[in-house]
Amino acid sequence: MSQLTDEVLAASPRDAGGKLLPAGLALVGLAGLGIGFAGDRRAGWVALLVGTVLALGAGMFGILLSAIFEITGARWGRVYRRLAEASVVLMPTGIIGVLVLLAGAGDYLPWLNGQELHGHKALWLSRGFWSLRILLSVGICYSVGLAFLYSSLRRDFCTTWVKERYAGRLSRLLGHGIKDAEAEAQRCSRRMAVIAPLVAMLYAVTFSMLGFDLIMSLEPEWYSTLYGAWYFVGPMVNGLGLLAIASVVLRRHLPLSTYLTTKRQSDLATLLFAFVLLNTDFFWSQYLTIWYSHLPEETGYIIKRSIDFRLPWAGLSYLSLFGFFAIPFVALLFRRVKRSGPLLISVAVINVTGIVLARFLEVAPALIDLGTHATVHAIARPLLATLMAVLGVLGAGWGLYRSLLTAVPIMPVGDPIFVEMFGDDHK
Amino acid sequence: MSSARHLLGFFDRASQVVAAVRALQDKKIVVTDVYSPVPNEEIVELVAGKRPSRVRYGTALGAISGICGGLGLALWTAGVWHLVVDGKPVFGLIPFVVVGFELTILLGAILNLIALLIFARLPHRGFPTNAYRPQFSDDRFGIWVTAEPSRAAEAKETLVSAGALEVQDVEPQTRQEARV
Repeated sequence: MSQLTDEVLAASPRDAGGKLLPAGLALVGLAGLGIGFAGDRRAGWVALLVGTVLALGAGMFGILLSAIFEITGARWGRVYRRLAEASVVLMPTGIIGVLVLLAGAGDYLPWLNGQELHGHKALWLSRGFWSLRILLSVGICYSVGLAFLYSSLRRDFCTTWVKERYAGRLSRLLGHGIKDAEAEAQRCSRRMAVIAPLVAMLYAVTFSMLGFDLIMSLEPEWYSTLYGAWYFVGPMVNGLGLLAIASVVLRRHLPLSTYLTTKRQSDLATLLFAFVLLNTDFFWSQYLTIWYSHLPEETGYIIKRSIDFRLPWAGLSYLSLFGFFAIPFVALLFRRVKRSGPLLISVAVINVTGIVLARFLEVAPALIDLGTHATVHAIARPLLATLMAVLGVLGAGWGLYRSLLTAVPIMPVGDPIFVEMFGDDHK
Repeated sequence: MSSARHLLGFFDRASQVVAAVRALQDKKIVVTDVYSPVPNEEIVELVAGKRPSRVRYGTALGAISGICGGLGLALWTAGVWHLVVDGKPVFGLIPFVVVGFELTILLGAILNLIALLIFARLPHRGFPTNAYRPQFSDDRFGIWVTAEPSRAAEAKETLVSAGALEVQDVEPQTRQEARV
């Protein structure tokens, strides 16, 4: 058995980062939803919507990144492939959240509570059609993503020692029916090469639609064709931040220093920096277009959230801008930050918080009417409920993430490029 | 050091080069230079130390000039021509950010390239030193070692035991000798 095999076998992250932490955070999340739904239920819907959107995006992010590695043939990111793919554990949370949101739509959607719609918008936002679009978007994107992931994992189970070492129910499913291991591994590789571009394209289309339907439809009188792009980049920035945190924590607890080197961590941070810029680019493109065209049906959305300081949303908007752009942009210019685990974790946490706040600011002002004047106390409950729900999603996700990485190899040992990099020597 | 011997070890793996350089440095034998067909941060840090590259000052200068120049150009032209678009203020910072950002990237990238050429002393008219071999831009790594004649055998032995495919004697140029 090679050194590679020994190291990968030894890497079982079941308890990495605290044994009770996931359960504790999941309880915090449930408590957050409880706080939100107690009294005026709108705070609860805000928390549920933001938490669901986060889980939906994070659940798909890892597969998307893996597909991007497949398309580009990137070598540096191979060590992050499985760590990213394992974010699939958040898919069920996202699906449950969507189903609850669809079931409870009558309770929170303004256009199902007396707001009149006319013409094509009334047709577009009829409850049945709206629900169908959301289910189709999630269903199509997740199905194709899971098909890609299945091939990626199954390719690992074409290796003899992987089949011997991993003997759970999942590994039996993944290794089922493999007769000619070499031929099967090649079949998996070919399948992945075909599915990877589909994953990337369908992600862009379906997540744009989810942005339009889950978030933009909360204020049907406002619309922006750029919103889809701004929305679907968010999970990628979030996902990269969460991947950076997970990889730093796992490197600290597991013998993975051969793979998760400081240089590769710096590369991952550089990719995060690039996506921070891309995310801000889409945000600014949308903001600039609305600012220039100066149409009342568009500017009201922006004024309420970022210019009208009689409401607490504006202050939060600038805080969000600092979180998802200014602080990560400046911090990630420095090599020291990119190479230091604690500093990178700090920047990633700030970045993820900034994105979550941005989503909160898209949802909360649409559902919670504060009138013309309000203090920050007026949004304390929905904000607290949302942050707690997000912590719950991430905590539960961390627990499931560790379990999945214990049930399958933590590195993509069936990936030919990975084997080429580490199978023989560190050439 | 004028009577020093200059040895050139050929390797085909970066890991062996790293091990050889470490071993030579532990024995206080001078590693004059290392040639690599691909960028390798570990080797650079071993040979040149962890001092950051000076190229970054060129990049920073370009980026700062770009943002100041871009915003300045937009503000100046708006002030001269009083371009009122859609009833917006003449000095609207929101669209000007785009010009400032684009010029930041453009000048930052251009000055980065210029600084790289200057500090890497490119382009070279010939091979940089007598020790350089065309294989070092293909599939071989090279370690150039300078040692007192009494330690030349030890240096050669270190290179070979680290995995050198071949060790040659070289006659370096005067400028490179001065570097030693």
